[in-house]
Amino acid sequence: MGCGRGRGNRLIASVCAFLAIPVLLTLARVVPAAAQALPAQSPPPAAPSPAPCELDIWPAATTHTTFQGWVHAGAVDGAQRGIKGYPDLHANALDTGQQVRLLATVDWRGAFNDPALVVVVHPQPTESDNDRSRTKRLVTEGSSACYRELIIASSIVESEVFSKQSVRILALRKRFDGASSAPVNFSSMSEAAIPFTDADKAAPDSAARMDTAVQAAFVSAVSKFATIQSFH
Amino acid sequence: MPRLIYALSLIGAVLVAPAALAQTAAAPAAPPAAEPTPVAAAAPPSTTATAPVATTAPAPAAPAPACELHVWPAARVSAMTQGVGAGFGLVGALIDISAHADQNKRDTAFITGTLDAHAQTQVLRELDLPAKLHLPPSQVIFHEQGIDINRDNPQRLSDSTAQCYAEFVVRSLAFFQNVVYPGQIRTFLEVRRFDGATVTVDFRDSKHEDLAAKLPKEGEDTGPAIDALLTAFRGDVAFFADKYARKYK
Repeated sequence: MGCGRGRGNRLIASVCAFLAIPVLLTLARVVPAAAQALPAQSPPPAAPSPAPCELDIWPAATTHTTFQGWVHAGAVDGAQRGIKGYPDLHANALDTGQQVRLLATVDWRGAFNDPALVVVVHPQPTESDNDRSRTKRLVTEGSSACYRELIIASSIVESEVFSKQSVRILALRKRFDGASSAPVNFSSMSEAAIPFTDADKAAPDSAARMDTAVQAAFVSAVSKFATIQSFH
Repeated sequence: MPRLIYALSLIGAVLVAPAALAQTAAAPAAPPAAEPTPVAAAAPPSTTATAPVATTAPAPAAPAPACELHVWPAARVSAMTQGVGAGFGLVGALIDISAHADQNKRDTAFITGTLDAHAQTQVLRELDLPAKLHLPPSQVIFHEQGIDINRDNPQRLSDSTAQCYAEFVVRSLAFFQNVVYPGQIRTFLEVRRFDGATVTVDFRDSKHEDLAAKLPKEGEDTGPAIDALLTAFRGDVAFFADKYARKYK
């Protein structure tokens, strides 16, 4: 039943040959294109490897406290302002300098799933008026085309009479893909309970232990945010 | 005749096929065009490096206004979500508060962080408070830390000795929602004007605005709620300032 098999059936054979032209054309279009795609996927060995991604991190300007007790409640930074009835929630353990130190301990490469990630922790908060609406990079000189910003917008130590003491952060991630691309923003908050046990409370160095616990909660909250942002 | 057709078809195939091959040979030019990302990625960010930075030209040195307006951000923030338990007396209210403790803690911290001193300052600066309050041209001083203001205290809240002096205090931000009312934020504000050491005007009021977005949970996008809070705060302050200006023309 194939084309041109019948002896003397040249008419059918010629029609088959004519019909075969579009098929040949299609094949001619597909096969070379696929062949061309290969070199594009595997760059020539002489080509330089792409620059690693860069993550720039900024701490919050300060750490606030919120407190809801049986009698006293509502004052922001109550202990720092010396208001009676407000306990010290050790917010000074998360001043800007401590935040910078702690931010450097977070496993950013793991959270961003990028072993080659270049991480820069800046010593001071951003001075931008509005980081959310900003479309420019904060670091322009020499920054990689693949560039991310992670800004701790707020850090808060919180206490509530019916809930655990915890550290909460509000953070913003700006993702710039390409030298002149607009950023993709993701802002969220994450919280971590302060791991402060009764034994810590009874210990003679309980204040130092509380500082350590607050800092551990901060690192945990930041790590949570780093993981959350990877889904957005 | 069939031979002629056959021959013609062969000739056609021979003539057309190279053209098709030529097309496909040209086609690979497209993939590199669709592959500019590595090229752009490798290029230095010259665009951003040379982008103009919005700078304000230094204004000619003008004498600072003699009047001062001191502004304090919110000293207190609270958040309360009520469930149906609140309607069952003291025990019901306690159970309800306990059940919503984590949410209230979270909302309080979120408002504290979102409407911090910096954010409030931004909003108040945009509103041009001296003009809104019909005050004489004033030097506006924004304080970093909130302050609790006692109505019985006629003293100035700052150390300023300016003869023409006024205070604008954001006393509190209170978020509330229950099964009937959607989330709303109430802003408590106060303005005091002094003539020397004497208080000539003391006006306090509050205004609430329904929020256009729900306050977020942990891990959710906070963008809409941040915008909603800032808009509500701006609306509250503008309403209060207009009311004050109408009362003390």
